[in-house]
Amino acid sequence: MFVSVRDLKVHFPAEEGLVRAVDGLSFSIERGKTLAIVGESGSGKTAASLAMLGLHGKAARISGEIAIGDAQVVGASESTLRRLRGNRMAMIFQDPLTAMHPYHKVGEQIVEAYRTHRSVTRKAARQRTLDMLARVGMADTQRAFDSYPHQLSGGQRQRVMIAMALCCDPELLIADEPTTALDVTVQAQILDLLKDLQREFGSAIIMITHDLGVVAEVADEVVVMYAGRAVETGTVRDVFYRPSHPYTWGLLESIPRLDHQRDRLTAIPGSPPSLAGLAEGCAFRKRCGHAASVPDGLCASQAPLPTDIAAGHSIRCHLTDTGRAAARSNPRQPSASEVQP
Amino acid sequence: MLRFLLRRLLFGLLTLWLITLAVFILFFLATPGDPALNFAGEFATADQVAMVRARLGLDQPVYVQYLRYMWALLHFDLGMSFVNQEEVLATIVRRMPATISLALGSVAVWLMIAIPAGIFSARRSGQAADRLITIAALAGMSFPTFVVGTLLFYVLFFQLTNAGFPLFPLGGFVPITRDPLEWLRHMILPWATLAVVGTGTYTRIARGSMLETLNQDYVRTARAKGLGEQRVMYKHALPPAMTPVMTLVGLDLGGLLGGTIITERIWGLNGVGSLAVQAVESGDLPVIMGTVLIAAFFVVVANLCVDILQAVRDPRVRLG
Repeated sequence: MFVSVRDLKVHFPAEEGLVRAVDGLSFSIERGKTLAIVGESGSGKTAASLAMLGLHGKAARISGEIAIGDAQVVGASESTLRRLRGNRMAMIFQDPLTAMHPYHKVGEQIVEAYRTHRSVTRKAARQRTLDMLARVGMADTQRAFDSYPHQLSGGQRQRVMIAMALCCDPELLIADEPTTALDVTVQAQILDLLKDLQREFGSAIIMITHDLGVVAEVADEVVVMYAGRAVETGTVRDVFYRPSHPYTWGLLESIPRLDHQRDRLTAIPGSPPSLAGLAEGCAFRKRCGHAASVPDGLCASQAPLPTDIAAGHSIRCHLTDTGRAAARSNPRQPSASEVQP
Repeated sequence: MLRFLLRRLLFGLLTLWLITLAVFILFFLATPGDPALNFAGEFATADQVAMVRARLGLDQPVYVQYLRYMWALLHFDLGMSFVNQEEVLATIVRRMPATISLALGSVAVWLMIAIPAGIFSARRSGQAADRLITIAALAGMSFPTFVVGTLLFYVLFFQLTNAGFPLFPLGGFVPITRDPLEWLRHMILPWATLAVVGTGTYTRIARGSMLETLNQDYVRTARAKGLGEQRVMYKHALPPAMTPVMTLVGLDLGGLLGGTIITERIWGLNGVGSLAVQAVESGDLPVIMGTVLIAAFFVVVANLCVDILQAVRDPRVRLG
């Protein structure tokens, strides 16, 4: 496996207790493949991606293992991390306007990224930048080079960010909600562009998103995160066609669909728990309609461990195979009175 | 950019004009008694008073006096002092070196301390060093200049001199052109007097602004690109973080160049501030007007400079 994350934990000590932003996350990706990390805001997906780049401050306590090829991220020195960042792994962010420096021309920002990792002349770096700008579909590359971020449109800015991220030909690209801030029509263009570039550069991509439409579009593998943990991991077909965790069911139920007549969308009742000092047990149980069918109050007393239910498809849930089948045939959400605050 | 500058320039001129109006109105509304009576002396006869009044132009209606003043002003003529018939502009120019030395020096001193301290503090936010700096800055901010000045005078001049180390002079001003070393020796304590408050304020501002900038997405991007910490700090974070500091320098420098009153008093610097006080005390309208206008002029010019500098730094301002 090219990128491998084992039992990643990102904890922040806080006054109200230890905040477990990421709590035992494991996944792996091969070259040229895309892994989507899906979850609500606060589920730990961005904390996980920042940990992969080693970008958390000193306040964060990070443990576990992150391997990019032969390089280890957790516990690596700052200089090792700097050689990895932007070079072997790069990141694109949700809002390209705020993610680019307002005072610098976008071309210079790419040149800077390139020259940080390649000993080339300014002229060569400039040429590389112009090539990259052309490659991400900027029409007038000279003009784009000399533009400031605020002079470009949202889609153009994200293209520039992608050019900046890919200029050193990274093996891993982390895209943190890269289309959320864009118009719907531009979203599709950006996703297509990322797929094209992935074929060309062969990078592995981690796509962080809350948008299941994006997942269906680009992902090979999916990690569904809830309260800092991967509740379901599998291929995109596993997750969409054989979803097996009650939370994933809830997510899929809440997508509007044109081919099904539905009076209203089903929302998952309640809201995600606070991550500070999470109690024992399954973090999702209070919003889960099936916790009652698990014997011995297991959901409240023990956090479920990842269990393989098929090759490469695992969930964290106490429901047995039969319990799950029964639950799936009777999709029951807890009523509002059952959801504990 | 040009339109932006023109707009700022016009706005500055408008400000200056409004100030002339305000000073005139205030002078004639608020001055008790007849100014001519003051200047003619206690035992002057009615004829003598009338003569003085005519000579100072005070016999004319207020609007005529104002128009005459404005006409002269357009020719850079600030008129003559009522008290000693000296050219106002010449008086102010004569007193500018002390004021400029004090203003530029103290701003330079506090920026040289406050900016590094603010950055240092922001990078260690929440740690002991940051807390210590924050407390020191708050303490500095809350010392009024007259307390700082008096303390410095007592300890560093009086006690030190008594102990046989006359390191600092009693006060007064030596032009830098006459003797740079003596100039420095005379300026250190006045600078310190102003710099205590300034350093405190600017440290707080630099720290807050730096902290905010360090949390910006583009700083995270800079780190994600693999840039070294020094480059992230000084090329990506520092320039935007200096914006509020520069704005404030514009205001403070402008204000200080218009003269400081307490600091000049304590250290016997005959600058524009003490000139203004004397003028107000004696009801010397042309001098009051001149000092107020000079002060306003410096505020307007300093702010204009800051705006230009800001437009040079930030393309969003330039094009906006």
